[in-house]
Amino acid sequence: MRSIALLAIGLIGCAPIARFPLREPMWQDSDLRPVAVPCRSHPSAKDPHHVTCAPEIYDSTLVWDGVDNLVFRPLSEAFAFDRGGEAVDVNSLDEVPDSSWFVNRVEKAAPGDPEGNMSACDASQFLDPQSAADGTWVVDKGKGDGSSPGFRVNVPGKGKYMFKGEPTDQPERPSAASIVGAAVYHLAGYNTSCEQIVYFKPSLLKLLPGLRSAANFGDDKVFDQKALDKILADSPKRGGLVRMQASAWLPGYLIGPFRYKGTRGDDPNDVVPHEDRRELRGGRLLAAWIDHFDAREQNTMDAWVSEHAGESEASPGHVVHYYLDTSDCLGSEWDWNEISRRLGYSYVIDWGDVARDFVTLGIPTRPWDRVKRVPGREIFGYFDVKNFEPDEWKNEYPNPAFSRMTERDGAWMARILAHFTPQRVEALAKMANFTDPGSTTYLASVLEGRLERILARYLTRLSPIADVHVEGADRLCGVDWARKRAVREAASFRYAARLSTGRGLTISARDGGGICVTLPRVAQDGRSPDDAAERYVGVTIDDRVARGSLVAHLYDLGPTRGYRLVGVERPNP
Amino acid sequence: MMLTPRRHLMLACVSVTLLVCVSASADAPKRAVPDYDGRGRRPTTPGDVAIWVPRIVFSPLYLTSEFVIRRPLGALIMGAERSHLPTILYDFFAFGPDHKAGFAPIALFDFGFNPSVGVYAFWDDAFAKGNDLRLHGSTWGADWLAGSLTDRVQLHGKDTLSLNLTAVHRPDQAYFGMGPRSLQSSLGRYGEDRVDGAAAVDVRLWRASHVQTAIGVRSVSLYRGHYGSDPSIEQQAASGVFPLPDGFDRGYTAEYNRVLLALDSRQQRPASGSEMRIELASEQGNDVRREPGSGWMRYGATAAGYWDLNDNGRVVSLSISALFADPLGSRPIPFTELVSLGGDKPMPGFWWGRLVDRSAAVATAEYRWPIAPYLDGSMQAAMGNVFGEHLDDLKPSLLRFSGAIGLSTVGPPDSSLQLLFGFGTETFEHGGQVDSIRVVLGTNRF
Repeated sequence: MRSIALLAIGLIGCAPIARFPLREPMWQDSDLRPVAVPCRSHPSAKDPHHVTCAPEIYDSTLVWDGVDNLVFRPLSEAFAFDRGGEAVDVNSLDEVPDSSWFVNRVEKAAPGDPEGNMSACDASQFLDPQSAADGTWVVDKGKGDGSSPGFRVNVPGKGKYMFKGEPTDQPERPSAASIVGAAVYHLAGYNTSCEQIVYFKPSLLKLLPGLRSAANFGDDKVFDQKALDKILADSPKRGGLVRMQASAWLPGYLIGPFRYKGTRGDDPNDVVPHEDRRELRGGRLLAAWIDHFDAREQNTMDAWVSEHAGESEASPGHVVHYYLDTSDCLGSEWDWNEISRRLGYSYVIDWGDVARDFVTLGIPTRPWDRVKRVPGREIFGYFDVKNFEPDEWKNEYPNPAFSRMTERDGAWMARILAHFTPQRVEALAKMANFTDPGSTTYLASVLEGRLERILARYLTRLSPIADVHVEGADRLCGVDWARKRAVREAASFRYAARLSTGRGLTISARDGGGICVTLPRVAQDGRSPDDAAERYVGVTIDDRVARGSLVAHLYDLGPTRGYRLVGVERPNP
Repeated sequence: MMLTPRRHLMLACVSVTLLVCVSASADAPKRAVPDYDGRGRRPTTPGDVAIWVPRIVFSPLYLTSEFVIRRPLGALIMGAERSHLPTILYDFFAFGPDHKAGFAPIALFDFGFNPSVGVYAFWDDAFAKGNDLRLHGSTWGADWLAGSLTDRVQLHGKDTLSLNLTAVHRPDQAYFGMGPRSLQSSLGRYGEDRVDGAAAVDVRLWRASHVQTAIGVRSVSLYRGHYGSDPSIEQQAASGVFPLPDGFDRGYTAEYNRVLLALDSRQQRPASGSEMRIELASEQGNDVRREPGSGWMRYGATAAGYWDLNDNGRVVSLSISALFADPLGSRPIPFTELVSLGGDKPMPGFWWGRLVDRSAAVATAEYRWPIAPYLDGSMQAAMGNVFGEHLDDLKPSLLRFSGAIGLSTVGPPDSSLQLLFGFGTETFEHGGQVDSIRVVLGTNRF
C-alpha cells in the first residue's frame, strides 16, 4: 500500500509540464461580453413595482470586513492549509490580459508626454468653476459614508460629482492623494473614477433643502447650510477660492464593492476567484508605493454597464470593477499617533507583531519606532522612503488578495511600475496642485525613492526582462527593466543566453535596457506541422543581476516565417 | 402542530437544503474559466497531494472554524450592521452631545479571589464644561459589591479637584499574618465593608510632577470571611497560626489627610523615557471611634530612574521604596492601615495583602516595552519585604523575590486593562522557594 502511494506521488511528481501551444497570447479576456441576469422584482420606496435585471447590490459591511479579515478568515485558512499558489489570470507571456478589471495601459502611454493619459477623466469631465454662474452647482445629497465630510454636486452639462472636504491637520494632502492615487491606479491599468482638484467660489453652490449625511459611525444628520458652511470653512483656501476634491459619478448602475475573495455569484463573467487574480494580488505593491493602507473592499465599486442605453438596470450587460478613494495615501494619519506610526508597517491589530514584540521583549527596533515627520512637511505624516521595505508593507488589515501575492505577482507589478519614469513621477506630484511648491518637490522625491526601492527589490529576484518579442525572423528581443531603471550599475549586467539544448547563444545589449538574441535555425519550411515538437525551442536568458532567468518558448516556423514567441516563464531561482 | 426535536432537525435540514438550492439556482450560469496560457490545468504536484494529509487531520478544526463560527457569525454581524446595529450600539454605549458619556462592561479575574463583573461609565463635561464623572460598579453575587464615583473638576490648566466616593463589600480578603516571615499557607479570609469619601486637589507642575493633597473619611468593618474552602481569619487564629490582627471584628472610622509630592521629569510618548522620579507621600489618619491615642501616620519615599533604551518606549527602570506606618498614640494601628506589599502595590507577584507590617523596603527593576498601540509588555523583578517598626530586622536573608510579566494598556488609569502572571517567594532564609502565584486579567481592583 505504502509503495503504491509512493509510486503515485512519484508519477505525479514526474508529470511533464505541457509546452505552450502555437497560438497568440491571450491579451483580451472574455469577461466584457454581454451577459444576461434574470429579471426580478426589486421594489423601492419610489417605485413599488420596480423590476431590475442587473446583479444584486452588495451592501458591504465595515465591521465584519475588518473583524473577519483580522481574525476569522486567517484562522479558517490556516486550518484549511490554504497554500495560495500562483495567480490564475496570467497569459502565456506572464502578463495579465485586458479585462473588466484591468487594461494594459501604461505600456501604451506616450513616454514622451509624461502628463498624458494619467487621469481617468476625459476632457468633458473637467469642471470649469471660472465660467460657472453663482448658484448653478446644485448640492443635492449629503455624503452617505466614509470618514471625510462631503456632499454631492450636480453640475449642469457635466453630471454628478462627490465633493470631499479635508481635515484641517493635513490640509491639501487628502485631495492630493485622491488625485495622485487615482492617476497611478489608472495609468497602471486599473479602472478608477475621474478625480480632480477644484478651486471654486462658495457662491457657485446652491443647497437643496431636506438633505441628510452620515459617516462610518453614528446617526445620519441633517445636512443643512450650517453643515455645508463648516465643510467649506475647514477646507483649504487659495485667493478666496475653496479647494475640494471632486469625484465624478461612475458610469453604469452601481452594485456595490467587489470582494477581494471569491467571486460574485450573480455575474456569469466572474469565474476567477478574486484572491487569485494577479491584478488584485499585485495591487499590493502599488498600494505599498503610495501607502494606500485603506485598500479594502469598501474602497472599490462594481458597476453594471447595460447594453441598453438609458436603461441602467437592464440586461444584457457586463460588470466593470473599479478602485475608489485613495485619499488615505501619501501619509494619512489616524487620530491616534500610536496607530498612525504603524500604518503601512503593521495591521491595526497585528497578532503576529504583538506576539513577536512580546516574545522578543521589544528588543528589535521596529520601523514604527524610527518613523519621523519631516519638519515643514507634516502634511505627509510618516510617508517616507527611509523606512519603506516593499515586501514588508501591510495595509490596515489583511486583504485576501494582497496576502496571496507571490513573487511573480509582485514582479509583474514592478514591471508595470518601472514605466513610471522620474518625469512621470514629477508630473504626478504636480497634479497634486499644492500651494507650497516645496510639497510638490517633497512628494516627487518620496514617490521616486519608494519606487526605486520597489524596483530594486522586485526586479532583482525573478528576471526583469519583459516586452519580449521576435524581431525579423530570428532575433529574440526584450527590455531589461532592471538595467533600464538602473537598479544596479550598468557594469553589473552581464548577459548570457542558451538554448534548451545547452547551446550558447550570442546576446547583445542595446541602449535603454534592450537586449537581443540571435536564434539559430532548428527547423525548415513546411517539413513538419507548425506545432511539431521539433520546432519547439526554449531560450534561457540571464542578466547576472536577477537571481532568476527568463525562459522564452518559441516555435521555429522555418526561414521564411521565422520564429514565433508563444510563451515566457520566469522560474524561481 | 407540535414539532418534536427530531422534526425540528429535519425541518432545519430541509430549509438549509432549499436555501442552498435556491441560492445556487439564483446565480446565472457561469462562463468557463479561460485557458489563459494555453497549457490547460496545471499538473498535480506531490505537494498538492501531500497537503491533504494535514487538511484531513485538521478538518474538524476547519469545519468548526469555518461553518460553526465564521459563517454564522458573519451572517449575524453583517445582518446587524445592515440593521445599523453598530450605530445603535455606539449610541447605546456612548451617548449625549458628541458622545461624551457612555459605559462599558468590565471584569476582573484575580487568582485566589472572587472574580467580578461590572460596568465602567464616564461622562465628560457633565453638567458643566471641565467637569468629568467616572463610575465603576462591580459585583460577584450579593455579598460581593463594590463601586466608586469620582467627580473630577478641572480647575486651571491640568489642575483638578476630585471628589471620590468608594464603597466595597466583599468577603474574600486575605490575611497571612504579620511580619516578614509570614507564610502563604497561613492564609485566612476576612470580610471587609469599606466606605471611603475623599476630596483631593491635584496641582500639576513641571512635566509629570505634581502635588496632591486630600482629606477624607474612611469607615471600615472587618468580619469573618470566606472563599472556597479556605479557613477564615478567626479559624487560623484559633489554630494558633497567628494572633487576631488589631482592628479585626471591630472596625474603625478614620478621618485622614494626605499629601503627595512627585518630582517627575517624564513626558508622554513619543518623548524619551530616560528620566527620573522622586515621590514623597504621607497620610495621617485618626480613628474617630476610639480617640484619643488612636491615630497613625503612614509615609514613604520612592526614588526611581528610567532609562529609555532606544528612545522609543523600551524603558528599564530601577526604583527603591521605603514605606512606614507609625502609631500617633498608644493604640495599635488597624492591620488594614499598615504597610502592605503585593497586589497593585510594590512586589505584584504576591497576592493582595500578602505582606503586612509596620514598614517595608523594596527595590524594583522593571522593563516596559510597547507591543501594540496603547499596549505595553512589562517584566518586573523586585526584592524586599515588610518589617517591623522602622525597618527593624531588615537584613538580606529576610528579603523575598517577586517576579511578574504581563501586558497592560497605556492610558488613563480610570479604565486600564492588564494581564499579569507573577510569583513571589518565601524569604531567602526560608529557602526562597516560590510560594505565591498570581494571575490577573481585567480592570481595576477594589
